[in-house]
Amino acid sequence: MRFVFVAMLTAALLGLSTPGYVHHSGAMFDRTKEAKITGTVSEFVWTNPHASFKVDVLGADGKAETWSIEMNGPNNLVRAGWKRTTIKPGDKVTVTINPLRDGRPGGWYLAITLADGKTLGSAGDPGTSGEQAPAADHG
Amino acid sequence: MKTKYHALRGVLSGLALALCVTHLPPAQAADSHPDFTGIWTWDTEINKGAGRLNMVWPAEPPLTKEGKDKVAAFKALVAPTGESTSGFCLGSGMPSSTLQSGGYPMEIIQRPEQLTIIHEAHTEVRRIFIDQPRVAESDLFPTRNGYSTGHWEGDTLVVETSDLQESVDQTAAHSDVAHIVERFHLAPDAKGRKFLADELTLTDPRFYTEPVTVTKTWVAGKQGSRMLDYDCNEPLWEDHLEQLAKRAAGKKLPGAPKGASQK
Repeated sequence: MRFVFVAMLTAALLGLSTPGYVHHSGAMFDRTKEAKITGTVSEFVWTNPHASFKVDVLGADGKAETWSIEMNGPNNLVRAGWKRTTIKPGDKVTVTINPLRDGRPGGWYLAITLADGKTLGSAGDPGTSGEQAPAADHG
Repeated sequence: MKTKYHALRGVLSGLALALCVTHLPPAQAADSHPDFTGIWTWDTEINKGAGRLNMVWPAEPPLTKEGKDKVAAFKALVAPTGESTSGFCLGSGMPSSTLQSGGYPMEIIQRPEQLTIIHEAHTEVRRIFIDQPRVAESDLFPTRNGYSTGHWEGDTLVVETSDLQESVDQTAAHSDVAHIVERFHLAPDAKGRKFLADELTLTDPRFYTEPVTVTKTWVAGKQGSRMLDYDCNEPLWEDHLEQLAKRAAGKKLPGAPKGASQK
């Protein structure tokens, strides 16, 4: 029974091992680099330990490339001004990220400019006394 | 008459006072100690050098060969995918639960006989039994957060934690012989802000060549701040239900749930 559970868990995680649903440590993101992408939201997952969303970015060749963005957990996002309804599929957004080290189209969320021009950041950058700092990992 | 009245009033007052003293509710009995009750958030200013995750554990702790080997083996195992306990909705365990806890606040509820720490991330709970008889060793078993007892030394709550599982999957790795001593005390600053400090020493001769001491400091949550629920396992559960439904459908078993996933 335990084997079945572990097997299921492993299967579930392997199935989710694309950049959009990584739930991994922050080591995969290059914290020394920042990138800005503009595109259309195609998915928004509001869940622990990390929320995530996907953005379809139109390339120079006219083809859309899907970028997977991982974020802090919903609780700390709420403390940074986010709501479960802040973005939805179809929204045009510009997102600032720490890109993935391996070059795949994805990254760690830093800030977003919404369709109405409103800007949101991350949950209390380090140096802000008394606020929550961003967490990519809980280990 | 007047003298008798005064004498009677004196006796009654004394009796009332005695009754008050002997029937003090527990909350009042704790008044002589500092009250840590409330919501505490981490403070990046006072914990300078703690890094982005505000984890005050040394980057290169004095590990023994056994400690180094086991930590390296774990890191090699998860390196290809970068997986960690949090991805499986599992709390860090001590001491990382209290030293780090994923950058979420914690709530302390203080009663004279027990201090309860609720870390928001993974809803990790620590119960510190204050001035209580120690549970018999035969009734204890190792857990990720261990068994904690506490006593007051002046305004400082001294907490000892033992019965920890061996843990290589957290930043502050340790063996199952690890013993942790914490000294919690309030530390208001010159601006009158309320801080809570935890001077923590981990002693573990199997994993460390010498005790490791760090100090973690939290600032009191702002007025009106509140803890939030932290539900984490639902996607795993829903995926599991989906798998069950697929298997049931594949075998044409009766009772395959329709729309098992609530996604």
